[in-house]
Amino acid sequence: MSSSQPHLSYGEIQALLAESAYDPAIVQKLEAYVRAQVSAVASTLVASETPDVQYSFDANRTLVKLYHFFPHLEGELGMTITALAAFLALLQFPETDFMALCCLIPERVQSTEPCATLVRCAELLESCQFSEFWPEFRKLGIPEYGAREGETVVSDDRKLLSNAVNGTSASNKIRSNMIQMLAKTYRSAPLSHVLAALDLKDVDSLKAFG
Amino acid sequence: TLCACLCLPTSFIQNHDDQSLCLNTLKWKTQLGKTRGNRPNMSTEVFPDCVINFVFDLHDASRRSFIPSEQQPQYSGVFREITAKYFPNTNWPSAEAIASECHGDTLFLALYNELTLRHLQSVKRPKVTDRIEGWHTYRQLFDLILQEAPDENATATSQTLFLIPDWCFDIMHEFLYQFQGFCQFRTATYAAAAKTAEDPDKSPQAHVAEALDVLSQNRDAWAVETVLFYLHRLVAVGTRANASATYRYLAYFSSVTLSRLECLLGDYRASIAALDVIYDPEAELVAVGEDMKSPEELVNSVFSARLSLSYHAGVSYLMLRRYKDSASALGGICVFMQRGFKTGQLRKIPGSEQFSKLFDRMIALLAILSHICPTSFLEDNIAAIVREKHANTLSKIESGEEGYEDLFVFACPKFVNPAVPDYSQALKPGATAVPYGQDAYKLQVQHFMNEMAAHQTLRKMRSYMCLYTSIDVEKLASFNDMKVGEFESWLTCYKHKMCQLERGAGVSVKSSSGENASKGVVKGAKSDQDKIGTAMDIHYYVAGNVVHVDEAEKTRRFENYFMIQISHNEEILKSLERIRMDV
Repeated sequence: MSSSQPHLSYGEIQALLAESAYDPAIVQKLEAYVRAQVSAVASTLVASETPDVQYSFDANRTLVKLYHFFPHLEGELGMTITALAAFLALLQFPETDFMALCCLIPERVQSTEPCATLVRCAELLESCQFSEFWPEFRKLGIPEYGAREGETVVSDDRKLLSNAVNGTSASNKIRSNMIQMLAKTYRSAPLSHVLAALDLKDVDSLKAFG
Repeated sequence: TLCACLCLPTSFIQNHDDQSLCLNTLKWKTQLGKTRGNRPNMSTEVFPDCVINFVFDLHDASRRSFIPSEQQPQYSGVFREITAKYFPNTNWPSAEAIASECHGDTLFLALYNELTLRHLQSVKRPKVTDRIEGWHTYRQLFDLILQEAPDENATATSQTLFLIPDWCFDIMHEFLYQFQGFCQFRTATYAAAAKTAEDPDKSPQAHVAEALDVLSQNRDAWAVETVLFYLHRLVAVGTRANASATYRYLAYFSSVTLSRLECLLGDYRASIAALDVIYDPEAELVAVGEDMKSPEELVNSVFSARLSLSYHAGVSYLMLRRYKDSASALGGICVFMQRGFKTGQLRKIPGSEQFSKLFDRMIALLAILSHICPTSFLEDNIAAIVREKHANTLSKIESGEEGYEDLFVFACPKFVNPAVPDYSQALKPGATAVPYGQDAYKLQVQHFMNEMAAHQTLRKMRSYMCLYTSIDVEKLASFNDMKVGEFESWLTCYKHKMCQLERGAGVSVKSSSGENASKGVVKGAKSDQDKIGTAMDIHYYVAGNVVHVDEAEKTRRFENYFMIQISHNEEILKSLERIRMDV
């Protein structure tokens, strides 16, 4: 599993960015850190139990930028890692991380799966179409979804993305962000509307989530 | 010394030491004899006496005396006069020819090379080889500057180099201008080659093929990672405690340049973050002539730097959906420029032809901002200019037509593709016009338009909401030609889009001048003081099926209105009195 690959800690990554942010030699270290961040989301461990792996927008943005500067370092593998970085940014909604990252991701990557579905998910979140968001999001949980013609083997990184999407921690983070947004608009809202927005079945699951 | 007119044969001149020729007001000295430094010069270039004096004086001011009031007239005045008189369309003498006047000082010669190259490239369109030469010139200059900087742990050492702030900024500004030009040249050459690659009977034009060849052999030229490296190093070296004034100037102007570069690359977060060094409230004051100034005041003292900073910050904030900050940055500089145009101050600054173009672009951005963000406060005179120039476009947008894209395309910077292409691909059939499918410019415009897509609907929604204190969701939805289910998400969307980061108020910046107190200037606050605010001018919430609306508090600004009307009245009275006197 890619999560068992060695990766630098959050502190080490910040130091690396301060010293040599544009050195193409750091690409692999940044890729490992992206995988580590997604693994942390996919795992059942609580965030405080993995203190050396915190979300770092700067690290993810630098990696995407290095792909932009050195396209030969990107390749097919890099496109999926870009999707992982985009997924991490998506979890920060309503922060503008995804938006800022998209300005650095070339159109040809944005229009290829799994990035294309992530971009669609971000559009739905930005326009607050929360109930329509969940079916699109769930598609990413199927590793084979969006496979290109002739692609028989699903990469580890793609599987990692599916695991993270299917895990509870990603969905719960998105739900709590959605609740923040709804709370800004509604003083009282119909239960059905809220349940549809949060993709929950009934009041009990809402209480359990709360 | 003999004075003879130019009708004497040149052989006569070459055989005599220290000959002076007089042609009206022109004095020439051949370089075969002694020079001021008493060193023989073997160059055969001939150039006027004033060049020698200029080089000597400038070298003295930058390497020995360090007196700003001596350097300023040389750099800003004498250099331009000599250029206009003797080298209006040609290059200055080479560094080898004048080396004896500065004792062969390599760093000074590198500065001289940069200065004269800057002039040459402004009068002659650079060829690909000129562009590559430009790269080597800047690399050499920055390597020498960084070499002479004191070590990190050294205690304050004596100054060895002094450059006035204008000179420092001009170097950085031109460095990035040439980088940007090179990226565009590279993209255009690739596209031109790819165009002919489709037709097997066609071959690329000779100059395109030659350019491709030179570019392929110089893949490292203007490499973006090296450009970034130099800018970051200059910032790091110049913000150390033991940095001399010149290195500090270079650091702050490098961060303005870095902010511009990141904006051109589409990394708007990095563009804003690069300015933290300038807005750091803990930063020590730096000596500028007789005064002590904060980094922000230093940047503001060089108008071109201030303009570059404000424009790129304005664009970055806009792209990051921070409309109030964008309007503040752009509005502030436009107010300053409007005053400068009226008094004629700006025309005195070199490069002022570009200022009005940039002013127009910023006005276009402000037109967009005033339309999508009702709380972006603009000064009355700037708001009037926006209305005057863009009323048609804005009313087109109101009526549902496209308009934002045209404004943005006019106003945005020339974004660059940073990746070095595989030039061999350009000559293969089926080659795409854009290498790697990366069109930076198109990506940014697309991103902008995606953001703008929602604003038409949101504006319409807001205009209805302003009319009510409470209204049924269903009724409001029908006004907006939508079903309730579809409309509800827009209510949340509006809140979301307008909930934006804003710059912090900042702590009191150490300042010897009152300039920071002026309106519209982005005050000293680093990005860690940013907080969430709202860009809406109305408040609303939904309870049950009803939307309750409340207008946000407006600061009433009647005093401006009355002042303007009083002054108009005065003018009318004055012209009336004049009529009576004529009768």
